[in-house]
Amino acid sequence: MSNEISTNYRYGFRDPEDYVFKTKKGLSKEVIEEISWMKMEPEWMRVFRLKAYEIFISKPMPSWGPNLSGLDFDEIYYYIKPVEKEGHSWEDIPSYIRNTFEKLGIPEAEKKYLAGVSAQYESESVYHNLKKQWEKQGVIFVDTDTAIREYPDLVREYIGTVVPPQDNKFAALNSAVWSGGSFIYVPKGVYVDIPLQAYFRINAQNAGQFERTLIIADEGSYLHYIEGCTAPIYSSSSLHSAVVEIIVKKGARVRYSTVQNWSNNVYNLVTKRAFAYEDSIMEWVDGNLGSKVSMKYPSVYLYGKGARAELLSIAFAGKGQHQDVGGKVLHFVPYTSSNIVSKSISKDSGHNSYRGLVYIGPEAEGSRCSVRCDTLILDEYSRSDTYPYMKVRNRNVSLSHEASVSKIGEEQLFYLRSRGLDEIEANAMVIRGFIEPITKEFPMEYAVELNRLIKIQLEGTIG
Amino acid sequence: MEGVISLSLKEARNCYPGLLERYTKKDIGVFIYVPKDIKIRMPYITSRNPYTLIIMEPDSELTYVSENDSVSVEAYIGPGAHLYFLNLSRDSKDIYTDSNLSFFLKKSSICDLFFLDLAKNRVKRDVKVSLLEEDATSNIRGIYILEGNELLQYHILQEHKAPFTTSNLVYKGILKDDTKGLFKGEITIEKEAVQSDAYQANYTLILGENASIDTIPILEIKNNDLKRCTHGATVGQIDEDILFYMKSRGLEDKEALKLISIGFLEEIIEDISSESIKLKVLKYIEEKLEVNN
Repeated sequence: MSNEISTNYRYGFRDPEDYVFKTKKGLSKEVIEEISWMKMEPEWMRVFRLKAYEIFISKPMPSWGPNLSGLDFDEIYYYIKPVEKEGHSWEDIPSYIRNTFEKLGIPEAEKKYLAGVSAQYESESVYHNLKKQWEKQGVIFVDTDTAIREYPDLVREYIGTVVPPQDNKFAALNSAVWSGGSFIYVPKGVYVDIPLQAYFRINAQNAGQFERTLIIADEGSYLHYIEGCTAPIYSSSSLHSAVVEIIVKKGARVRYSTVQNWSNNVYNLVTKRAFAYEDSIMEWVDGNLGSKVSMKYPSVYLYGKGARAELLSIAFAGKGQHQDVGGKVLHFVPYTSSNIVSKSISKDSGHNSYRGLVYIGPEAEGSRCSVRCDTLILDEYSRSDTYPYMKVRNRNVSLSHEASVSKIGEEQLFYLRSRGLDEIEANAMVIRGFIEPITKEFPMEYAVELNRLIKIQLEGTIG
Repeated sequence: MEGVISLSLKEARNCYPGLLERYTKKDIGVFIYVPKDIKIRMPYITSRNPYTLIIMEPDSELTYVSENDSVSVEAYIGPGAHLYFLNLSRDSKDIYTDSNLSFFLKKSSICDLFFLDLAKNRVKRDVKVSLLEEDATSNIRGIYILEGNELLQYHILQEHKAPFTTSNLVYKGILKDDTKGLFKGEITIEKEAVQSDAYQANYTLILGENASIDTIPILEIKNNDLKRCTHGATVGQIDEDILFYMKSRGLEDKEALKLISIGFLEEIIEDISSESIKLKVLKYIEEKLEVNN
């Protein structure tokens, strides 16, 4: 199994482990106390973690969805601190870590037009570089640990309000052991016109990654945040369980883009949620390519009149993968709208599930929602499921849902091949067309990377 | 007609030992048996029996109309046979309708189902259509209209287990007053069911201020060689513009609402092949829409 993966997986390099501090395997009160002590956190955060740990213990594993039996909570390192202190410029960063990033092409990307690169290596951010202009505008973009030290009041006010530890077992786990992640605050009326981004990577064997991201977009502001993941290959299962909380205040707009390409042994169990207030717009753009099992349902709670939610996602399930992804939109107030588009591709016995919820509450009159799920199944061994839940509690609404399952058309392939394309290229082109409505929402270099990754996935299987 | 059996299960078990054993162990209910090549064109109409077992031999034909609410049916439709099954449920005296229906289709058989739910109580219905052999086809049509504080809970499963099978479902519902509906429609396509064609559409019109609907259209597909697999669902209310237009032509609110509702359902009513049943259905629907409007 592991051999098979590593030959296919292009980013499957790894560095020798060199860590300053590592908790012992498994989870206990002591481990949490230790994490909190290592981070020299304020008392309220220590209490928050311990409470969350109790909730984690008391909650059962989800009884629905993908098989999580391969997950062993006792085999995971919950906290690893790679370097003593954070580097402030590229040169300060240890060279082996720099190499890893260079292989991922971050410096080039930065050269082009990235505002700030907040690269998370293991559980701690090692690199932060926020362009001076945003600092001048009052934008805060730091890792969450730093935010606790420097902006304790702001963090304390919002952390755990969107995704409380009680929400689900994995949110509780994250709340107990979280480390790293990004904290962003965009002040009133500030328009951040270049996307902010962070790269996340897992390195040490069995290292769980539990980043916690909190984004607050104040009234009338705009932000595009990009999170991308690639992880090296390991033979034993890893766990990635992040929590992302976003607050979009009146008239603000936040777009959160993700490209997830964890190696094929990672359990990716993520809770992402946004609260959208009056006339605001929240957009989740999601690309799920890697991991063994993903359970990810980015959600938007529409709390303000005229708020809007957009959920766009692509899921690609190859051999041994189960992508159980989707989204949730909850309309609580009048005149809110939402649009969900999901495209999934299954191949080599891959398994895709779209799992979604649309709730239109009794007060949400005049709300609109449209859902569209399309699936391509590339071979006879693969599988695709659709589980959309639609709950409507108000009559003055309009809701539509459509889903279709298909394969690549023979005529399409025949046409492309008659124009001189080989089978892989022809397939890749049809797939690019299929997911194009979503890839075009990503910044250009991500769209290119996404298309390249899909082509890599196709090679060696078709033809 | 020759060889047709219509008996209580108990009697059938005595008269035709060995015939029932493969299908059921139940003793209370009705047994209907249609021999090979026999075509019963006259609708078989029943009003009250808790459980019916239908066995159709190859190339037979049966139209079965039940006006019982809590109808439970198991039907085994032989190769090339055609079952037309209609369930018109209304004015129930029971407080609770619980209906379980399973249809098993053999090679090239056809099963047309029609459900009309106007029952004045709580309705729970589980329908399973199992396409077991090649070329089996099932068309499912349904209408429900709820008022007051009625509840409705539906679970329909279209199971494709063989190649070249077709299933097609269209359901339309109207929810008035404080009613609640739950509609769960499931399509499963097994690995061997290549070239399947599965369709499901569920349209809901909400008229009631406090009415609510949950619709859950589920797909589970284990095969990529499909003719079609699509589902769609919409939830909405009557277009104000249409209502305004009709009122500007002198129609009263009530009358306009009724006409629009019938227009919404017409597509399904038109699909009923028997003229007499079509008129009956239309009458029932009009009656239901009349009340409290």
